[in-house]
Amino acid sequence: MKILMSLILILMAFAAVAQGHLDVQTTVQKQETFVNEAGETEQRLVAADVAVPGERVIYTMTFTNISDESAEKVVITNPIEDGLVYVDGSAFGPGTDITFSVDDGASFAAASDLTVTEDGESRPAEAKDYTHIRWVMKNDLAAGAQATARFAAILE
Amino acid sequence: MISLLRAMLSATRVLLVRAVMCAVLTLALMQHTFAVGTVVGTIIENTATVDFVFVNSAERVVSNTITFLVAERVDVVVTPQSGQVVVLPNGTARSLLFTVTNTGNGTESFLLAINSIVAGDDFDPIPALPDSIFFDTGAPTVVVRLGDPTLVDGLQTVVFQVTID
Repeated sequence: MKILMSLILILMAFAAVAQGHLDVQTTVQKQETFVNEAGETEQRLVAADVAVPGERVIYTMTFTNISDESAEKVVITNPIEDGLVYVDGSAFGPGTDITFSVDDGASFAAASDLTVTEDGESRPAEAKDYTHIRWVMKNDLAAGAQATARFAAILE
Repeated sequence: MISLLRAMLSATRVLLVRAVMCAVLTLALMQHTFAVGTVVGTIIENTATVDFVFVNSAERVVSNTITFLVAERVDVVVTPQSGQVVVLPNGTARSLLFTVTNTGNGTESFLLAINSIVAGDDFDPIPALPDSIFFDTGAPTVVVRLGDPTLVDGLQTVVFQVTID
């Protein structure tokens, strides 16, 4: 009986760790043009289950503090996968500083401070060079609070 | 049209022969290879990471992994290569050269057809029978009819369209 109780406690402990204090959900969507009831053309976001080269997809990360304490120094990192090219200026995140990496996530800097070495010569980094995006929250994320980060990319 | 044209021709004339080749697309099996765009069938995954400090201790959580599938973009470019073609009165078997390039992200069969009647001129050449489309095999003098081409994405073939006046 004692052993069983210990096992249950261990399992509960694991469950707590797995859940963590923040929850983060990612979605990928694309813009769709449709005609509304008034006959006007409008845009809406729909789930991107499939995309063709040249199409723009939008990633949205929603992160929620599911604990009863503030989370400090919250940093969201998202890779720009092979086959995708970041859309310049599309990264968005209220209350965050947005930085980029051109070295597979080893270091991050503001877009204007990034350089790439090509054929032995240094040049300013372009959107196509970015491998990761990072959002650094300026303030703590209070208990129960939710925040959002978003960017767009073109499928090559 | 042709008789009218012949009546008009009293001397050798150079005509810019304009013709349009219509590439009608048929679906072919998916095939992975090097690509113009991301190859059809590729799955693009993405997972976000969140690092934070919780009650003085560093923690990291990862998001769900979201995926989407790269679908096929069917795209083809037909480019005239001949420029001006000289046609003499009663001339026959003049050829026009085109390249057909698969600019999509999957392997496709391209069904080629000829439309030699182009508005804006009186020159309406008749496609040769039984076949008027030939494919360049790469040999210097031999042109062999191969049937409609199946092109891996990014590759192209050279097509001769032969017409008789």
